[in-house]
Amino acid sequence: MGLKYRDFESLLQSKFRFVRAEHHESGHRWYELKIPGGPTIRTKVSHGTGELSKALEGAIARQLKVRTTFFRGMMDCHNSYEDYCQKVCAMPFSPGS
Amino acid sequence: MSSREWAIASSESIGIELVCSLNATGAPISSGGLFVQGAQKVQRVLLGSLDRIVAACDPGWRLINGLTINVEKDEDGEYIVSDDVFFVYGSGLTEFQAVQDYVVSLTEYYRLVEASRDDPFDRAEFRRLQVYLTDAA
Repeated sequence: MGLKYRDFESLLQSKFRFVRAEHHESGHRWYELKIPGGPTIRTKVSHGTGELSKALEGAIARQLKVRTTFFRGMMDCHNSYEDYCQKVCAMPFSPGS
Repeated sequence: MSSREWAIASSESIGIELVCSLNATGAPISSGGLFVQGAQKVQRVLLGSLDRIVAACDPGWRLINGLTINVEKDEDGEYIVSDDVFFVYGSGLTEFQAVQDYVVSLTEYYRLVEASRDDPFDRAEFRRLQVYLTDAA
């Protein structure tokens, strides 16, 4: 069974500490997470209902800077907030890059 | 907008051109046409004024360098458009709707990053955005 939009949005906030970014008129909801010592991750939740398709899961995972398999682990409780922050911080980001 | 109109608009007025179609393994299938049967993903390049794509878009928005976008059709028949630079995505019931949603999302992303330029990571991201996108208004 796939991931529902509302469950994704709920987990993003409750488990992964994303906060709602400023309001946009388009109907998109943007969420942000400032990774301690790292970049701010931003992701968009569109106005869909039902379940996220595989293609959409892939697009969201890339926005969250993780692979789709890791993203699924985030959503099914295998990967924690700490796991996520560690994963993102291990990426080759730098302010000058 | 029909597929035919979209194809014409893509190549002539909107500033979007088909780069190539890719099969499931990412290999190019064709360099022309719209979706090639069997293709899993199509790449296009966005360029020029974004208000030509989204009428409600601020007329100042303009892509100053070509931005390659991936167009995929998911198992539900919905189109997903995304880029490999900023990882912004859009979705819609038609390819054109998905491109429109993508464009709106890209300008929203720009505004969010612009508002947070005190952060060194976002300052760097904003510089990258400015390579492609400008808001002349």
